[in-house]
Amino acid sequence: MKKFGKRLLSIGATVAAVLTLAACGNKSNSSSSDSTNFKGQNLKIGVWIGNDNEKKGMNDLISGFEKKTGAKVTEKVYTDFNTQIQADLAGHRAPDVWYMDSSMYPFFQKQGVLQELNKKDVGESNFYPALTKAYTTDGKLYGVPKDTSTLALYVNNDMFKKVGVSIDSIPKSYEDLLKWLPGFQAKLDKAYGKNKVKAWSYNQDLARNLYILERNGGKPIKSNGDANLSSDAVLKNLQLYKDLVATGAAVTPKGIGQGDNGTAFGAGKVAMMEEGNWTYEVQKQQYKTNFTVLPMLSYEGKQGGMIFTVGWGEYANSKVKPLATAWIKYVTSKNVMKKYITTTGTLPSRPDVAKAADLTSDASLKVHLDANAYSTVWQDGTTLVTVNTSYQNFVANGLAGKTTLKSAMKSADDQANAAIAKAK
Amino acid sequence: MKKGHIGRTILYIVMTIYALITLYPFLWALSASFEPLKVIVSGNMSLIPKAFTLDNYKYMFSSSALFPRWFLNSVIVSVLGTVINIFLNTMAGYALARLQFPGRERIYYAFLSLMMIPAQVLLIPNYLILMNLGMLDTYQSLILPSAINIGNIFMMRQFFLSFPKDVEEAASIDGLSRVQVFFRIVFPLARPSIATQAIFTFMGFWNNFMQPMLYITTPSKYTLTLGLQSFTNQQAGVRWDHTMAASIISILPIVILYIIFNKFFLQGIRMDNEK
Amino acid sequence: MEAPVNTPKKKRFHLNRSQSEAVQAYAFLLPAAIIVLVFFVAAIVFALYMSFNKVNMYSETYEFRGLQNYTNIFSDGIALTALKNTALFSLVVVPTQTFFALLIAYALSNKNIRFKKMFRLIYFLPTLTSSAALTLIFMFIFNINGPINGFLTGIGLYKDPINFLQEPQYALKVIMVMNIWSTVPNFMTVYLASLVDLPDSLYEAAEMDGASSWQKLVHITVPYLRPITTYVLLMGIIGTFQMFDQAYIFSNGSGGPDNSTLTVALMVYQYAFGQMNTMGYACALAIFLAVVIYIVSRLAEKLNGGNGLKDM
Repeated sequence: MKKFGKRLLSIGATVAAVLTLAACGNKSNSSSSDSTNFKGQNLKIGVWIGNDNEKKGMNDLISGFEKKTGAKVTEKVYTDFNTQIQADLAGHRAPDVWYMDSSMYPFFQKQGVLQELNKKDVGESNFYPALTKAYTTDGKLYGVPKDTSTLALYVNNDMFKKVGVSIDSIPKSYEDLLKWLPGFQAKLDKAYGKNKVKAWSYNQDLARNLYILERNGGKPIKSNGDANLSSDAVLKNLQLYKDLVATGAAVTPKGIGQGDNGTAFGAGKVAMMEEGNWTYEVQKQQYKTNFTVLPMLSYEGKQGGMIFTVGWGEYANSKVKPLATAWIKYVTSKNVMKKYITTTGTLPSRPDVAKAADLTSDASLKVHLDANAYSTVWQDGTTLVTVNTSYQNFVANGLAGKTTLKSAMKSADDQANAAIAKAK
Repeated sequence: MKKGHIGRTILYIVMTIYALITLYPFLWALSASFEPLKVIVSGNMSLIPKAFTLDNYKYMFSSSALFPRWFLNSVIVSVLGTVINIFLNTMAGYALARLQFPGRERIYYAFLSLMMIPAQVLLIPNYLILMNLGMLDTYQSLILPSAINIGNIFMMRQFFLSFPKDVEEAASIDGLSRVQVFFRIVFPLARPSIATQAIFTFMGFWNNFMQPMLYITTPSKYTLTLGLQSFTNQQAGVRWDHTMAASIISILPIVILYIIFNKFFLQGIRMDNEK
Repeated sequence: MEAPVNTPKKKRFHLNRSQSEAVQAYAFLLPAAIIVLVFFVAAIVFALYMSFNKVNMYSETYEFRGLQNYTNIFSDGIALTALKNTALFSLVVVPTQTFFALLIAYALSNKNIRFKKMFRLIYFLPTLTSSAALTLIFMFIFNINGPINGFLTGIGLYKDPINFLQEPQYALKVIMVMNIWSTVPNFMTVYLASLVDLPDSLYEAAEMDGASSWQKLVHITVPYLRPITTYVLLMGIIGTFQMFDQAYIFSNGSGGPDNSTLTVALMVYQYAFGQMNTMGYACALAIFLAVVIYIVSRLAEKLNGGNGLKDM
């Protein structure tokens, strides 16, 4: 029994140590001066790298900034962002500035880990208003968009040629598409063998479906954060995907053993997909697909799509806030952003850069750029990720007709709300 | 006699079929690493590369000037970690199986129970502990928390439970102390189980991804797994061509090690004695 | 770092036999105990502390909640679904993998088998194939136009190809196959390492009595391997009850379709690293899972003939 007591004692000691040490780290350092000479200072940036071009673009940003300010930039590349940033923030070791997906922003803001930015100082009015709005809470700006991506319709030219269908005949609305797809699928079946090539790939993911579900006042998430997927307006919109599945011409990439749209399209398993501009270079370089980029379709008389934007956030506990702000201003300035987006093939978050880079001369990029006007930013409060997880969990059976959409979405709501309630 | 022959033929056939089942995904990955992305995802890739290319390997090897450094880091962490593990786990396992002492059963179950908490909730506590020990971004952070492996302690204990007692008894009659018996007699004789433990431990260190990802921030301190991962993590769909080449590069050292260790796996006590 | 070899000095204290044995045992356990205390116990105690609180990892606020996180588990139908999936997964996978591992090890330990080393190497390869590669391969194999569907429709088992990856009644089963396929070699290696020490004389005696291969397996090999089987069973139980990554990759983290691949560990992850301040609930779930695993492990150990300490 003596030993047991000792063990308890040592456990108690370690807990105390862990807790006090964790608490100690809480002291925030506000010693940073307002100097504009950054020589000898160190800036830690947290980013993720999507591809080789983004890596090159980032290297250019870093060396340019170091040359300009004399500060040293340390880059932390995240591979599993959600896990790593939480550990970093819990340990008060988060980078001074970091990438922030628009869907994640409301959560970070709510946690109080983001520094408010001076709108005038960072030149808020230079950016597309829809994008800065995505980083604004209660009129205060907490992030600056670095670039943006939009969805467009990608079409495989060779397949259309082989089955003898003109690309111009592709319907411009979902309503017409539903009628058109079965005939087109029949031609694909005839040319390639039954079900070897599917006409259309779609995703069971709010990140792709949100704009449809929000049509005609649909509100998948209530303003208090609760899931509302089984509400009538949302269900009515969701019916579109059910009808799409019912044509027998639409599949999810996973349904045909592919990881994502781009892979399915590149592998020649689907003739059409809605995908972001990040796939453009991959299709051209790696898959050597012969494709055309078309605007998104309209639904209920309105064109729509998604906007994915990533912004720079500044850590509220940063010890080098002036330097951090200087970084944000530098990388989002006109000429630097112009060079960056040309390197990475992403779309600028400022209209003046789009103009200066002459993006509209490229027909495909113009389609993506124009989509900014009619698309919805991927963001909806702090519970979006939770609701999306639940949506992905239950939507398949509803769309396949195994249960009614209503009961599938009811299950999704219940599960998401049970989780949300625990966080309250 | 004849019946035995038929039995053995059937056995060979079954074993070969199982070998094919086992080998297929591995060969598939190997062959995919020599194919362009388009062929890999087409779904009708054959095991003999149709559009053979070394591009994937060229890409991985030229991806970073730090590549040799990452390899070296992995070797240092894995070798050091494995050596320490072998001693500490074997000693602990031996004590729990073969020595009498008060509290033995309680300690055994205490160790076992520590394995039962899912790792997901320990990630952040462990991160904070290492941070407070000042060990983040060091090799120690990868080696020390894994300097023992409870699963392997447990495995060694079970091995020692069926370890022949007469060997030790004979040795202690020869006047060797208990500690001497362990290091001079038991340790060498436990070769097959220690080799098994060694390969598992080495693999654990070599393939470890979560810990390097959380603890290591300086690129020159990356392990090979983490470094390779930073080049295969793609936003525009998974780059299977690079992923496959990366996975082959990273498992090759283990395969070589296994071939070397294969010899030890089969050297039991009895076999030695009979020779 | 290495073992201290200074115990002979202790002779001065004239310890008796059992005392010196105990001293040696503690010395052998000490390094492991230190590591365990610093890195395991401290982390677990921290997790335990969090399980009684509502935790916000970002602002580091801990609000004491008493047992509420724990009582929430039992009113949470989803947690029970996850537990059911996990238990089913374990119930199928553990006996199957143990059986195959033992059988293959037995075949490979046969003195008369040739190419032993080659077979061993081949059989070990699945353990080495990366889980990302494995998942891709299994997605291809099991997809609606894949070889499994091709084969089964080809032999006329059913007519319309099955969407194994997206049908709730199949998704978990595909993961089971994948899991068994990749863990058998591990346990086979452990069995083999023990089998090389099995005295040949035992087999020879049995052969003289005209025992068949099967009888030798049942009456000699299996009893001899009992301690290792305990290890295999317990590690299997722990591994399956904590199964996370395969379910995560398969369902994109959602546990779907219709919760069919939702395991307790996946749920722990969702609550720990989702966009919610629910680390406390995640910890409570984790501790609850640990208790379940502990009980199941002790039962399995009992069924397999105890912890091996009594017969010494």
